[in-house]
Amino acid sequence: MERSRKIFFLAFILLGFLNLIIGCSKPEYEGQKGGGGGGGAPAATGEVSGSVGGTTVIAVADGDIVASQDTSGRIPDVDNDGDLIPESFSFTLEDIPLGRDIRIYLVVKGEIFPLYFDSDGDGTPDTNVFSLASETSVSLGFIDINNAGQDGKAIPQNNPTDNGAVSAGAEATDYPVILNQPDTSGLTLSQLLTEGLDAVKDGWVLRAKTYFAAAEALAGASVSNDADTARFFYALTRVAALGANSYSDGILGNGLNMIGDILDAFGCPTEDTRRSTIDGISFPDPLPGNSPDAPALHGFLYNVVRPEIEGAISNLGAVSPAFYREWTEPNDDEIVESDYGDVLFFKASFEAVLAYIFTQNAYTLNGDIDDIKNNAKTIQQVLVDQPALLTLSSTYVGDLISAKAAFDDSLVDFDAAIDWMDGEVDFQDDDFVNLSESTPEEIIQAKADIFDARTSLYGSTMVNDNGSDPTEGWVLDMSIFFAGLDLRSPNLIPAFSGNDPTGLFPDPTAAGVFGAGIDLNEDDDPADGTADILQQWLYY
Amino acid sequence: MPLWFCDLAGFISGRHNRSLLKEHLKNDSMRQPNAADLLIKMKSKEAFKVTYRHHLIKRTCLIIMVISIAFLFLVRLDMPNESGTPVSHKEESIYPIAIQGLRLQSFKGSRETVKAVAKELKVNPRKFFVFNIKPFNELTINNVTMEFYKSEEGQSGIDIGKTFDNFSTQSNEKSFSSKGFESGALNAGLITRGVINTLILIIHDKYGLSKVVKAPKAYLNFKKDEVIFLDATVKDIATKQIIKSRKMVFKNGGNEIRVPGSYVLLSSAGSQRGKGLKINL
Repeated sequence: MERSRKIFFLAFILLGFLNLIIGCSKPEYEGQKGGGGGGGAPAATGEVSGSVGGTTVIAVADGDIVASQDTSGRIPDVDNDGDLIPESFSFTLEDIPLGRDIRIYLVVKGEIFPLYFDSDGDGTPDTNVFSLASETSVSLGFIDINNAGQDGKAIPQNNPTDNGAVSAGAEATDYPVILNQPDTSGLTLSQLLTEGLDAVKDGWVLRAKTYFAAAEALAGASVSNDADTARFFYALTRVAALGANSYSDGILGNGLNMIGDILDAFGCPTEDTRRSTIDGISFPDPLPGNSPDAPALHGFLYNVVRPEIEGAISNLGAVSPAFYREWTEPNDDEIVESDYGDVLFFKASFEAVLAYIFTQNAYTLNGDIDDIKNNAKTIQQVLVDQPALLTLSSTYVGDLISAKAAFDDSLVDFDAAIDWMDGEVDFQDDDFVNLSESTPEEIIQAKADIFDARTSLYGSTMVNDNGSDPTEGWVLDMSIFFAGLDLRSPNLIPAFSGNDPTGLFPDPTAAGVFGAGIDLNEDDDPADGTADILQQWLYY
Repeated sequence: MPLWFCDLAGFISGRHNRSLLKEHLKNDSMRQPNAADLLIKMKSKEAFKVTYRHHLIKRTCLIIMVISIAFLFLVRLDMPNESGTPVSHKEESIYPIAIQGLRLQSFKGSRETVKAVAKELKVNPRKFFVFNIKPFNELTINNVTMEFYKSEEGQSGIDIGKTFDNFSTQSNEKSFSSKGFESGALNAGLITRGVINTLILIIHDKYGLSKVVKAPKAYLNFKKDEVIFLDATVKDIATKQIIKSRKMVFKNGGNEIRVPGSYVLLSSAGSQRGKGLKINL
């Protein structure tokens, strides 16, 4: 049960990863400025200024980016709370064209907040579009992205229509395509990497993926650090983008091909402005009766997520050991280093995810999600409702062979990652992934555990006997699991009361997976009829 | 698996807990800050805002990493990993926040409501197996004693999380490690959880000392705004009864501790076992 839930999460994990790696911008959009044109006297324009908490501010006019400013790397210069300590960043967007529909967006660690204001004086922000009638300077004051009851919106301290030259337009809930899918044509590999890393800096996954996908394609089979950089970041962002692409395609019933489709299917509001931030996304309650069921979500994982994971593994496999790149991770705006150790670590991680996808596909995972959610059904009820749940699927033989191979690959690469990082002699604390908190003893132990885990894939193995107390060893044989282990017939799952496991395992050896030295049904602390290990797993 | 969806929905709907956390950030009325505090407050708030804003992201990342190495954990069977205090063999501190010797008092009018001391509070890298991934940190607080003085009306709940928030905002510049200080902005990374090593919770009601909760280990779940006590005991002073359990859960702002699993009740009449319990504080 728990494992299945986690497996499902892997898709969204990616979502987590996603944002881990996520990032965005810079004052680089000059080349993308639309409008303008023509010779003669420069066209009259206006400007918009204000302060933000740390972000990239972008002005869009009719689908073109006309101005932007990035606060990264700057020192706060505006004190908004009156404590005499600047905590915000001033910005000014110049050359805002007159007479065009202007929208302003704040990109903050991967989330895109449209600027909204109140156009009709009822106190509720209701539109994100305005236009300038004449040359003017619009002061927005501090723009806050944390607004009670207005999740996902950036709301300025000053209403832009307070300026007589500003008029409000009708709300536009779509996002200009250019935000997430910038034009990459004509850019060199170096330029693509620069743009992509700028996007990563702001956690802007979809934009970064666009640049890195183009960079990886342009790099082809060439051998260079730039080519490796393209492969490395394309691998990470393509996985991250799985979770970041939460926008609706406006077409219901066209299959679950991205997270946005899943949200559509669950009846979530479809406006881009309700999908671009975590807080902006909401589910209806109750869920629609035709919401996707568990097999449908499982299909998404297998048919959509898996190919991207496999592609990412392939990308990482093409990176050379000489790879090295400094980049700015978005959460702390801190410059970090990535090298071949990171490549091995992420490759191992993705292989582990792939193994779980295959493992999940080896099992029947039925479930009526809206019924479970709307009726607050417990694990106990679900196990009764779904007698085939966690039985072997029709494809289990091939799936488990693939899962076993992926697990093995993962363990090999984790081991190699440890060796690589442990062998590095330069300062490690600025490495994106590092071992700096682990002692030599812990590293030795980890490698021994990895060896045991690999060995157990192929037969009975004494594990956990290589620590300070060899008597703690016990026998594990994962080959039995990967040969096909039905969890319901005979039943191997302990009883549940509500969502809590109770009682003992029907077979404490799990058909021989667990051998001498371990008793899953140990019930000493407390001796209450429930296996201690089940209660330990209740821990946070 | 049906529960996927429960998690999927919670995964997204749980984001609304942010508003609760935001409230935390806004409510700093427990003490009067001085100028030095304000600097720390501002920076810490920003760090916590980032933390909360990305809580889901953090949790998801955590899950993916756990999945990735779960197989290895299985081999070691040492779940959960309770190595809250990592060992560093680096000479230079890498902790973005490190505060020693914290004391906090809170008053409502002239009446003391909270008194707390902690030996140490720090934000340290969180290990995944043997790996550290740059932005993932955890909040570690060592040797904490908190005393809550409940009002006669007994209306106000106990908020351990808020007390820790105030801990994190109260120190002075010298308490911060060079890295956090020199950066000019306190970047605490993604704080995925809070770990408390040795927590003593003392509850006073209008009659005096009421209950004492002790736990050698506790976790702060930021998303759920809960404190999880492990191997904890609750002693009722009036009845001299002691309840022991592997796990107890306290919802911040509430007035009760929940025991989801088995417990042992020790009293002058002997010991008694049971499952599921709510303890009023």
